[in-house]
Amino acid sequence: MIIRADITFEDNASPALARQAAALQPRLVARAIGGPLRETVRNHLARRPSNKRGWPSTRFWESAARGTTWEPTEEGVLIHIKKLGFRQRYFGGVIRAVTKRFLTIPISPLAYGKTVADFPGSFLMVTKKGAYIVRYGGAMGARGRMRRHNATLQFLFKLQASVNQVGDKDILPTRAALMSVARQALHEYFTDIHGGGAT
Amino acid sequence: MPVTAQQLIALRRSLARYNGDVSRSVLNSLLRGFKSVIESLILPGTENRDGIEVEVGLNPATARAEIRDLIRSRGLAGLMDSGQIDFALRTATEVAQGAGVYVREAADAEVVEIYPAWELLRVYDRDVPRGFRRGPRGTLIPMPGDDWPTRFTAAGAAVGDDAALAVLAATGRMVALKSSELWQALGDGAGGYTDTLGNPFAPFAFNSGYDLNNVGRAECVRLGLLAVGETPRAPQVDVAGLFAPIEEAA
Repeated sequence: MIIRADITFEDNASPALARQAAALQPRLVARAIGGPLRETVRNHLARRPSNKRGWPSTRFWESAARGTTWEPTEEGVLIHIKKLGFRQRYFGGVIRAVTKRFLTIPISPLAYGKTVADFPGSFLMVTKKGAYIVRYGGAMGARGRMRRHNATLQFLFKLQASVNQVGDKDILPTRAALMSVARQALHEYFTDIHGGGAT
Repeated sequence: MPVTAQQLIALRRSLARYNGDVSRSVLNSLLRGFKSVIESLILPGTENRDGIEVEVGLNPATARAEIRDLIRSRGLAGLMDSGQIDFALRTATEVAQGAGVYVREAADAEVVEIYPAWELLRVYDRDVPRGFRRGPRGTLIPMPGDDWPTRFTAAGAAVGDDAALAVLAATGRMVALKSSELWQALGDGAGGYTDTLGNPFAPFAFNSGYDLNNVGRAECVRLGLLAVGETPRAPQVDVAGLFAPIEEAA
């Protein structure tokens, strides 16, 4: 008795491997991780507390979050945070007055996020403790009503030639957190490719 | 980067309360001033001072001062107060930032293939979220019909995106393919909303704290937005129109 067995080799591995190899192109890997990394940085910035003193928010962190973009590079992905002051907050360092003689440091919630030009009628007052931009303000009566205008001085800004800001590395997610997001994104990407979802 | 049509809409709506006449040339001159200021806000530069690289550009306070000077110099004192200038600059800046992300994540077919959909969700906190108004003693009073799920539903119904509506009904999540016309309808205020900005991307309305997350293709298949093996379509992104000069958009 002769038993004939026909064996046909179906090469299912090569197309799958080809898909995997194609998916490994740095260009595609960058596109797989770029969006999730941007969202991670954006969410981290969006969750920053508004300011230490509890003054009305200038939405600095939201603006930094919205200014977060990404672009693919030959090595991977570049995350940009396009926000003036972000770099300064991250690295810290001395800020010096350049175009004017002094920096105006807000010392009142009224002045936070404002410039001297926002306070017409304000003027310079020099005291033993330093130079300030002040304006006349009202005085409260016993029942909390504004009783007398120009009764008191409101100190708005302190003038300083420079300030030294301490850098804060916590304003960005940790490297480990970013790597974890990238790994998860790549895992889902390759799972999808392996599962035949990719075209 | 020129001022976009969306930014123009945002600025014009900010100017809408002004009672005086503003000629087209003055308006355009004002918009060019806004454009320059917004560019500086969006793309701060760096320069080397004494061997140290430092950031340069306008911050919101100095930007406001520049616009206020510009308005005064055009004889339009009273056109916008400081709060309105802040609002106009913030809105236009957010729209420009959103446009940048949109081009990166919607115009690139390879990105769309990996992440075919967006999910609309809250990213930025608001004291008074849409769908509420402030009541006595700081309470929040619901305003039915103004919240984002209702708007999403209206936009989905307007363009017939039944799949996105089914996802919302089943999961409570606002997810639609990037190619869906739902996003433009949402930005156009489908359902009669007048506080929208005309964008197919976030922010869709003034002072919105909602933003978009990418949704991967496996998740899209699970949600029923895509069939297995289906190639997602990239949306028609008119990059030239998106960044049309103000002279064309005006």
